[in-house]
Amino acid sequence: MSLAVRHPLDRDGEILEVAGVAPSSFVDGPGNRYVLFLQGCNFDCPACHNPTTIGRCDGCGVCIDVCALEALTLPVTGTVLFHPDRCDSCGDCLRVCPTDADPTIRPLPVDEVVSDIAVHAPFVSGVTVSGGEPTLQLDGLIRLFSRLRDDPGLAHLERLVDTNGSLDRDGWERLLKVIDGAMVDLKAASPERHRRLTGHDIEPVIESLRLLAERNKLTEVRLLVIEGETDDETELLAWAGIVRSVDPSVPVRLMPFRRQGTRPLARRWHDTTPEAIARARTVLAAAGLRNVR
Amino acid sequence: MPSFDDVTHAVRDIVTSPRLTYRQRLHQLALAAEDLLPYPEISADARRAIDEGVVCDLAEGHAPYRPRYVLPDYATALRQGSDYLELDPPQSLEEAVDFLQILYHHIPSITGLPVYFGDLDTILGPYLDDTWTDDRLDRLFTRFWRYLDRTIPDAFAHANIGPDDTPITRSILRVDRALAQVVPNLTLKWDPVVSGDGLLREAAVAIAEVNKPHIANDPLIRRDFPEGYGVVSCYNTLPLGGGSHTLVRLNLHASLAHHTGSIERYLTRTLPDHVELTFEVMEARIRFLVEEAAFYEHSFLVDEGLIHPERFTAMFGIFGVAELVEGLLPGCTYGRHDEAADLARQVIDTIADIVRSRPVPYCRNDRALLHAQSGIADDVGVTAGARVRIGAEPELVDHILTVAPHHPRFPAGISDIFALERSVRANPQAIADVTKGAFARGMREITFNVEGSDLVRVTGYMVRLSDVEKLRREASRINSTGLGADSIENWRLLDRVPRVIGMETDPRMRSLLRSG
Repeated sequence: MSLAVRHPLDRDGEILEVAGVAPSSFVDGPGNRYVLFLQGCNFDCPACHNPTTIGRCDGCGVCIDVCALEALTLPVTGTVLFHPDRCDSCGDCLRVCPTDADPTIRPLPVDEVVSDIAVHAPFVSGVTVSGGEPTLQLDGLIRLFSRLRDDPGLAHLERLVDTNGSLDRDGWERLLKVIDGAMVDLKAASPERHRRLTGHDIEPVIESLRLLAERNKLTEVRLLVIEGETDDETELLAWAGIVRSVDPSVPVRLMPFRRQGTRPLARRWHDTTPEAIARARTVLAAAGLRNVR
Repeated sequence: MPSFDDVTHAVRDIVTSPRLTYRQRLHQLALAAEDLLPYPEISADARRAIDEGVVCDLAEGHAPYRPRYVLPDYATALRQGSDYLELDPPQSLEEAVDFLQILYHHIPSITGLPVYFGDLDTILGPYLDDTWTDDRLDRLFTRFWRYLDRTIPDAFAHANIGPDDTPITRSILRVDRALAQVVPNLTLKWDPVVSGDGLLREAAVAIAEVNKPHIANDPLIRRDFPEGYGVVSCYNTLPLGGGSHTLVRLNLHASLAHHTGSIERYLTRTLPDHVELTFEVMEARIRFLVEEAAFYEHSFLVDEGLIHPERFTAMFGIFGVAELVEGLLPGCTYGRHDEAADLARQVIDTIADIVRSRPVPYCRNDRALLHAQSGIADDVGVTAGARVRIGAEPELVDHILTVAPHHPRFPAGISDIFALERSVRANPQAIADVTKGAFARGMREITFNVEGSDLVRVTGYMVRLSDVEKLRREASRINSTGLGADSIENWRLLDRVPRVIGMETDPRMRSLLRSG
């Protein structure tokens, strides 16, 4: 299932394709977090909040033509080059990209990321790597976390990944050596709905949840509450059943769906109301989940 | 000198104002009467500097007859009782609270009400015995807190707690959070070793709900005040058993308006001239207070050793650093460009060096103390102290790193208000994390405003937005509500950009890549 795609320039897992950085975040794990968003995802969720992190630039060059300021160029076939000094962040390139990629990002050496984390280290409880799906850049990810773990000034930082749970067992075995925990999205409970909401099967995600719980590394399970999809009682009870069988006391976080930033496919749903979140919380708690937030 | 007609008009306006309570009218009348006296003698240049807004005495009045801020040594008062007030030393915690409640009404300050309630957990600690359960403490402090808010209705009145983590410290944090009152303002003196993470975490939980307490970097500040210190009013750190005669401030934005020539010339000529004019006004005010009003000769607080004249300093305030450096460096934004931060540093160093070396009469160690003044309601278009302009704030950590280097130069206090997005309420540990980082980088104190609370911080004091709304229709029982209402309107205060937003809710991310 895992697609360990490597950047063409990256021979040794020394380079990460970073979609963005949030040097302070209150919503990506306990305490203040330094968050790194890696580019690229193997799921294709219509409800994705950040669809421009899904694809990875294949150098097709469609964006070159819409960039009025010539901030994007195609010096050699297959490689889009970004000139940040010319960019006014209009977003046109993102809108025309046929692969939902972001041509303005460029590969970043792991060491550079580590240096930036060191600047922010006194202000945070830990580092969360999110995405996209961070485990797609497994070598770079392991390299980054190993560096943090082995640096006496940074080793105290808690290391978490925020993942869709698609990584296979071998991948987890490698990653578990360097992380403190994983926050996993379980987007639906019924196999059919999971496939519809992510484009992928549910079994590998459940496998990952079990493995992480076994190793005491399952930090949080998340449900994106979409009214009319994941909030009906049968679906919620089935969802609770899966999570309960993994670990009934694992922290569960309910996230409201937001239309803003999503692709047209998601426009049929409306923003999730606080009442819908409260209802879902009640159902999950009654179904035996002890730690629903 | 105003005409007789002007005076009667002003008095009539005060006496008939529907927006003032009885006591507020009384206080305003006293101010109007004081201002009938001529200003203490100053040169024509100093007079002009005041009229042009370069030097500002914060409308302290023409004839200072009480120090601006008084920080009595309450521990001594509790230990010895008071002959003047005919009070024996209290024998129990409840008696000690009664004792303080009486004493507070005899402490003068610029507001007419005390600005310092003491380091309450420290001074009340000796009265704690086994009979005091947490529940009983909470009930006592609930009563005490209600008393303070209802009888000393002014948000500049400030209680301190910490650095020791005691049952009283915890009780005060619980009660203060539950009541969400404007009074008292609250500062936690935090020491990583003495206080520990648990107490900081408890404070963070309170901040996430009610935007209090303010947190002071105790080990750092203590070094400047061997006699002890208190944090009072809007983040003024002052000597315990003393205080500040006066606070006169230099408006750096206005200072720039009276400058022509190079940056070099500003730093070597214009700025030192304006600093000296500020000192001249300060000195005239101190002389009047000490020599003419002779406050310190006629106060039982001095006679009973609760304050010591030699522990009074004067505060040299500055504000408008942001507008000054942006004016001197067209195209640069303070908080975003390193050149602006470097120039701010030069300006502050220049002022701080003069303040450290220039003698001031009747002051502790013969010196005034530098203070980054956090603003008053009338400061339209000028940013408080050395803060970054509202609306120009960089990302949270960059913001802290911009202002932290200035902190060591302001022994009498420097503040910044960091606006946080409401998601922090579900994750208060983040507030503790940011505080520890800020203190590790040398910040003396830190304050947060979390989005969506009714109780918000204005310059440093608190105001309830619901009170501001009510003030449109009727007088507020809290003296400072009017100042808060004006500040919110004049400064776009609630527009301070909340920092720290997760990608899940908003993809506005600083990108390592895009910064090129």
